[in-house]
Order: sequence, then structure tokens, then C-alpha cells
Amino acid sequence: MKTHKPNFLKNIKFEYKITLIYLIFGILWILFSDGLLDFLIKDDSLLTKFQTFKGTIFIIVTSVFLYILVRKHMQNLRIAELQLIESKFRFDKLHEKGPFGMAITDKEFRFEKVNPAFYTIMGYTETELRKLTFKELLHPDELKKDVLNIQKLTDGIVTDYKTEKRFIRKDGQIIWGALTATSTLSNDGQFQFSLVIIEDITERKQAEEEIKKLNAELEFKVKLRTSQLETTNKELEAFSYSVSHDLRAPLRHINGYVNLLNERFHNDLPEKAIHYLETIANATNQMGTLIDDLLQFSRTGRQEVQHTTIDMNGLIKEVLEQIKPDIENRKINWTIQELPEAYGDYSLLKQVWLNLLDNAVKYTRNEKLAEISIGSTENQENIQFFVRDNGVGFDMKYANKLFGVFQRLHSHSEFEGTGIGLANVHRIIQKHHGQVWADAKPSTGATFFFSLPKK
Amino acid sequence: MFELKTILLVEDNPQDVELTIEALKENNLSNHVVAVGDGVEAMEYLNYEGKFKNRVKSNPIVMLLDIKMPRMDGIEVLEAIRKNEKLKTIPIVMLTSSREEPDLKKCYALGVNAYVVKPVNFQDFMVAVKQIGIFWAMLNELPLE
Repeated sequence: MKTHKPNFLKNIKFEYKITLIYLIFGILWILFSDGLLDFLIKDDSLLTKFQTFKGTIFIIVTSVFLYILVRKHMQNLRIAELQLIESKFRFDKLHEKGPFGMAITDKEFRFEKVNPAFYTIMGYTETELRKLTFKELLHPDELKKDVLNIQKLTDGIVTDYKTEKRFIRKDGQIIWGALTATSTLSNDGQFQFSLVIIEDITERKQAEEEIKKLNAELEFKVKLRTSQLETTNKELEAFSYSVSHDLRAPLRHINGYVNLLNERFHNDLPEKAIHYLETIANATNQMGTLIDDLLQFSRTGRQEVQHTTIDMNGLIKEVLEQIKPDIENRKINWTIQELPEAYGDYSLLKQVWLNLLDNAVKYTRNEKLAEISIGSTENQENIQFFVRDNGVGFDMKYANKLFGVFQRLHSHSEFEGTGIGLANVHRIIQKHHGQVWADAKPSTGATFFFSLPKK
Repeated sequence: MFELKTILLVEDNPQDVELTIEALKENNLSNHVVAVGDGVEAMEYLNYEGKFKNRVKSNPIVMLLDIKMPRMDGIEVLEAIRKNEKLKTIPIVMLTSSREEPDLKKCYALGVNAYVVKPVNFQDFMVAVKQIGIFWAMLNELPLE
């Protein structure tokens, strides 16, 4: 327990001290000076004169002391008064003109004093408010909780209570307020009064509600869109499934029976008929490749990019291993630079290299000695990879068609192909937020570049 | 000569059945092929039900299973066989038109022995079917039933 040491005890002591010192000093002085004079002066009339003179001097000296003492005390008092006036001025300003509603309430939470902001916020007049208790302003939904907390205040269990809550104005309108209630206790711990401060935060709360509502709406819309997208994706999957399954099957049958016809009845068929059968077989093979490539293209479109750090040198080795059967009888001079690590989807970037190297090999097959080089350059944001060949190249006039689906710059009789490979490359690099472009000249070769952002 | 058991071909498309049998003919395996039209028939065959009530009691040496079929598809058949104590050791090769990643994953999760996509080109198709036939019907060893 904290013991209070009331101020007036200290003061009384000080006053006693001064009076006591004065009393003792005065008596001692009178006894001492009278004794001294008695001893020194034997003439009675002279003694009386000296005693009068000594008394006068004593009064003058003590008056000067008294003056100094009182003056100092008064000065202190004036300073304290000035400070009080200033603080009262500040408080009044806040009280009268401030945006916060302030009220002093008693033990029953009746209003003793309210400031203008308070009754403006609540929509009552001052006199009306004085007839009410604070509890009557609270929103019924939170009344139980609030009453409990207020009880704790008046019981002296807690000294302040802060919350954001709803109040009901006189006109029935619901407002939001930030409430701070602080209780003041007497020296012996008894509740004296509460200072209630309310800030009107209705607009802020409304804005928050609005944001919440908008967020919920947005979330709903996103969910809706996502489910629509998922449906579309599923449809696409079903579509590509049936393309791959249902279109391939009859194609396989045509090819199968044409081959059987050609094999089993070879000797009965005229040469022309055999040629026709071979043409049909070739056409079905080509269509088979086309379907497979298209499916690959649509799969690439749907596939999510799974980023990892990729050792491009290892990836190139893997791709070269894969195209080995196609270059068995070819003379190719490979120049492969050491490549930096890249950040991207392994299986997708493998498709990119496979397509580019496949093309380089394909379009150099008429050269006596094919030259294919692989390398890279980098700047702060990107790494650029390239594949250069000395093959047939192409006219840059048609470069804009290079990466379109089914677009080809060479006839099928010159170079076979479906026109999907580079479209696929384009799509994959786009998914990586990179770029792909080419530089070429007819019959001197082509260089294909693609860039990937650094991690 | 050693005794050869049956190869069960589960395929709804008669052209595919014919072409597969043609391919197996070249290894003299075609006489051992039993072809059924869908998953329900395949299960009837394996469980000696319906028109297969009186067949010789013996599991096929390998099953060639198409995926997309009416009534009961290949993946359902695979699942049913792997759950069945008497049938679960039968080697199963999926022989299907398309390479769909979800199908592949599902089949391997269910314990398929191989997954082969039928090539469009007939020569390639012949090679594929022949190799399946030679491996599973001639080279592979199975535990006694």
C-alpha cells in the first residue's frame, strides 16, 4: 500500500520551524543583549535609551527578513498561478473548441460536465444530457460488455477503459466513437469522477466498412473468374484430349490399312497405285506429326512455369544427345560457349533449345560443312542466348511471320515441318517474360536469339 | 515347344483389334489373342462370368488395355484388377491412342507395367506391338498362380 503524505503537514512543519527559530532567537537576543547592556551601562536613563535603540534595530532587522521571506513566497505563488491560468486556458480551448467530446461523470455515470463537442456528437443539448446517464448513449448490442467495464472503473479495479464502439444519437442514428474513460480516485482509493473522451470516428468506420465490402466483392469476382477460367481450361483439356485420341485413331487406321494393302497385295498393284498408297501413308504421317505438335503447343499454353536455376550447359548436352540420331550422317562443326546459369522452367526451356537446335540442324543439311554455334551475352537485367547456323537462312522481310502458328518460310518439299516449333518457342519465352528474335540472310545462315530475365 | 497362355486384348475399336492382331501374327502370337470390346467384358473374362463361364481356368499372360472405352474404361479395369487378390499379378500394358500426362500418372500410381502410345505410322505401330508381344509373352517370367 502506498502511503500518502499530505502536503499541509510539510507546510505546518515549515511554519513551525520559522516561528520557533524566531521565538528562540528573539528571546535569546533579548536576554543576551539586556544582560550585556546591564553589565556595560550603569546609568538608568542611558540604559533606557539604549534599550529603546536596540529594540528599534531588532525590529528593523527582523522587518527586512520578513520582507525578503514574504516577497519570495509571493513570487512563487504568482508563478504557480500563472502556470495554472495557462494550463486552464489550454484546457478550456480544448474543452470548448476541440474536436473531442469530453464529459465528467459521477459514480452512476450521470453527466456532471459536458463540452460542446460532446453534445454535438451525440445530438443532444447540454440540459438534455444532464438528465441522462452515459449508459443510455451506448448501442444495445454492446451494452452488457460496456456496463461490465464501466463497473470496473467505478469500483476502482481499473483506471481506464479504451474501446471503439457504437453510440446512439438522439435522432436514433448510430455513430462510431473512439472512447477513452479515465477514472480519478481519492487518496484512499475511492472513486471520485470519470473523464470520458469520445472521438467521432463514424466516417473512418464507414470507409473501413466500404473497403471491406469492396474487398469482399472483389474476392467474389476473382473467385467467379477463376472458376470460369478453370471451366474453360477443363474444356480445353477435354478438347485436346479428344483431338489427340479421336483424331489420331482414324489416322492410324488409314495408315495401317494402306500399309497392309501395299504389303499384302504389292504384286497385284500397278506402280501408280503403289505411288498413291505411299502418298496417302505420307499424308497421314504428316498429319500425325501436326496433331502431336499442336497438342504440344496447347499443352505449353496451359502449363505453369515452374522456375528453377538451370545449368544451361548440362541442358544443351541433354538436347544434343536427343537429336543425335538425326545427325548421325552429318558433318557439323559445333562451337559451344560456356553458358551462364539461367532461371526458368527446365522442361519448357528444353523444348526451346530442342526446337532451335533442330532447326539449325535441319536448315544446314544442304551445306557440305554445317557450322552451328551456341553462345550467350548478358547485361544487368537479361541473359541473351543465341544459336547461329550457316544454313539456308531467310529473307528478313518475312521475319514477322517467323513466330506465328503454322507459318513457314520454306516449302514443304524443301524442308519438312509443321510451322509450330517457333510459335512454341515464342510462347515459352513469353511465359518467361523474355524475348525472342532472329537475324538472317538468305543462303548465308540465321541466328536466333532469346533473352531471359535474371532472377 | 512351351505352352503359351492367352494375350487378352481389351479394345473397343474393331480396326485397332484387327491391326493389332496383324502385328502379332508376324511372331505367331496371334492365335493366342482373345479380344474383348470393353472393360466390363474384360472383367467377365477374368472372373469366368457370362460367355466366359466355361473357359479354362487361367489368367492371361499379359493384358493389352485401351483407355478410352464404353461402359468401363481401361483405368477402371486396371484399378479393379490391382485390387483383386486373384488377378493383381497379371502384367498390364496400356496401349492407347494418346499420351496424356494425367492418364500416365494415374496408371503408374495404380501399378501398370507399361504404357505404350500407338504410333500413327503403321510400321512403327507394328514394331511397338511386336516388341510388346515378344517381351511379355515370351521373355517375361511370371510367378505360379
